[in-house]
Amino acid sequence: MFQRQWARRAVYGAILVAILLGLIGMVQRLRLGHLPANYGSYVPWGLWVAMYVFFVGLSAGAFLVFFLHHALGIQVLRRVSPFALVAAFLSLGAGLFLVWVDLGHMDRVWKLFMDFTPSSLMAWMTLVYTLYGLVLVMALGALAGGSRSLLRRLSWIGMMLVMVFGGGEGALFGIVSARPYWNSGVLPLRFLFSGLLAGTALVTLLAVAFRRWPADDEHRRMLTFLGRVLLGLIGINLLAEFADSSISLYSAVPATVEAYRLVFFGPYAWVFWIVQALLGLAVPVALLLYGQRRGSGVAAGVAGALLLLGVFAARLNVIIPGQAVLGFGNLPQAFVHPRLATTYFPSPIEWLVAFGVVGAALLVFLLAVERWRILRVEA
Amino acid sequence: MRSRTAPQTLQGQPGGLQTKRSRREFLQAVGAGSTIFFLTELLEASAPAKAQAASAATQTVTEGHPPGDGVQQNVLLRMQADLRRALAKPVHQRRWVMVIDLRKCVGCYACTIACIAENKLPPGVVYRPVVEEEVGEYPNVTRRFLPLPCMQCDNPPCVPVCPVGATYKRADGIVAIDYNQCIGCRYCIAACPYNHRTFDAGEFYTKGTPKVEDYEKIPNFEYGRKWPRKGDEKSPAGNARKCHFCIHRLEAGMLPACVTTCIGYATYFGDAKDPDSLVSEMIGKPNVMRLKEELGTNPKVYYLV
Repeated sequence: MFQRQWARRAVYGAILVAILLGLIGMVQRLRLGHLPANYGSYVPWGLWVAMYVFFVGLSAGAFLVFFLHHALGIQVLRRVSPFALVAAFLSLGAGLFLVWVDLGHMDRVWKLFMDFTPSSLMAWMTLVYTLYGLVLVMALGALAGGSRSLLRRLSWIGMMLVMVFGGGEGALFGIVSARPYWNSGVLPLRFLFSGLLAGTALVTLLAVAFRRWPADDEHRRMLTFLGRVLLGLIGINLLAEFADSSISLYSAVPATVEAYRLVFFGPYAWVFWIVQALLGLAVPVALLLYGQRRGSGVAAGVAGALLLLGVFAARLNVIIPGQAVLGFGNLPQAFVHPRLATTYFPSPIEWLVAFGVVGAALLVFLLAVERWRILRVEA
Repeated sequence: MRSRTAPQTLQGQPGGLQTKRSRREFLQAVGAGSTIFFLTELLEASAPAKAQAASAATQTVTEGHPPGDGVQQNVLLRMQADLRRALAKPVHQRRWVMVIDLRKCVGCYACTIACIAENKLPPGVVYRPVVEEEVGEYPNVTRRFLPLPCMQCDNPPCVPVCPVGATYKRADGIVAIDYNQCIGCRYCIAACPYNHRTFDAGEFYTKGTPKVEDYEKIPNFEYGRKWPRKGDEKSPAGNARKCHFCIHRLEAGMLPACVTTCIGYATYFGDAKDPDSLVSEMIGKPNVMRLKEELGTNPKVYYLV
């Protein structure tokens, strides 16, 4: 996994620093409640919610790789499919942890189960996440037990749940008619496709960075396959995003157009042009095409990392601008307070908690890869 | 805290003598206003018979009301009588509505402040903002004011999205929040097309000073219960919050704070299921509009334009 000891120390050191920062953030969150956070009333959902939908999408995409091997029998993914399952489990956990931290009353989370409200999509999503989490736990157990038939069945059930919550998380936003920028039937598909893309990119990155097998011909064939899947998913994502944005812009609903204007030309336009379009799309496509031709593992790994960045930026560009445009333009001036503003940038505490969660998920993953027998796939 | 463009222009008038005279006039005006407010509150709390007598005594007061049954009455007294009639009915036979006459709103923010005082709202939480807008071009320019309470929609988008059923529509049509049930996910805030709901992050005005003052910790009485503010994540801190037409006042026989405080008689309140109520008369006119009706939310706040 680590060719050199210094690399191992550097990675674990960075992770421990991230976890330490996250602990500081969590202590502040628990001590001061929501006071140190920058979200408020007109932008009620901030970094943590954006990361929650991103991580849940990662879980969906990682599970796709597991499904391709165990349900569809794609042997070239044999080595990486256990990685994918662990990544799917940890991503789900990280996402749900972040949305839990985001709750106004963390201690009342049990009400989601005990006071289930059928009219609420969020309530149904809670149920689906729970079922999916159980499937992941059972799949991890089946992986340890070596039960291939159970793994196949679980991968089919899990994939169905992936389709439900992968699209459902987009529907959480898409059904909100109060926010015209979100209110689109294509949004659930965009969230599903971008989640599958990000999760596959994550597995590609993990396979390149933390593999426990030689970089032999099978490894190269695996990366070639994953590269093609990524390119295909990028194409599908572009199609869905074009369908959504072109129809929205052409129909010229003022609030939607204003939100797109913020994305393209607003104060955070660099997130779209530099992070999402250039680093998160153009560069990885070039790297993937290069990797396909030359069989470069590094190119595939870097492309995976950049795609993760691009999808995260895309998530931010859906969630934040959708809230930044109000039905009454002068409302923030009607009663002035930082929490009654349409501008939002995450506070240091929000960043710290986010770093900590990413660090913790990565630490568990690395420990599992290093120490868990079933992740040591024979060459 | 609020946009203070207009007051600054007035206060900025030069001349010491003029300032002194203005102050005297201001104090006289405040004194008169306080007396009227005090008398109004006193009348509200008085018995029906007394109110009837008072009504007769103030029949010559004609500010800001449409003709009723041919008799000119003080609108506050009329609305109090309407309120008492409505409260005598079973709750499901009431349909509380608010009518705001935009032609009479002068943008004084008395309603905003009264609401904050009544509900002890912390920083960042507001139930009745007044949106200001400048319209036209010089020399044909003016400002218009749009008070925005909760619309108490008949089809409220905030209710079905709540994952724990903490927000619900009461039998009288008011959309309420069960503070002890709310988990603070803020989905209802995102779902409100009027951007009405606000998140109580647990702030205090005197936070960051040597001591959080005790007056910030005294309880409010929303939904007919005591809600002391303890400085931690105890409800209503951590919750979504919204205007509830001052249910606690209604059930005690009083009009909402924003209605009694409105200096221009621009805000009216009552039972739309009572054909004799003032609001029933008002919303049966052609110059009535509601906000974002195209969304099908069927708001219960009407604007006269």
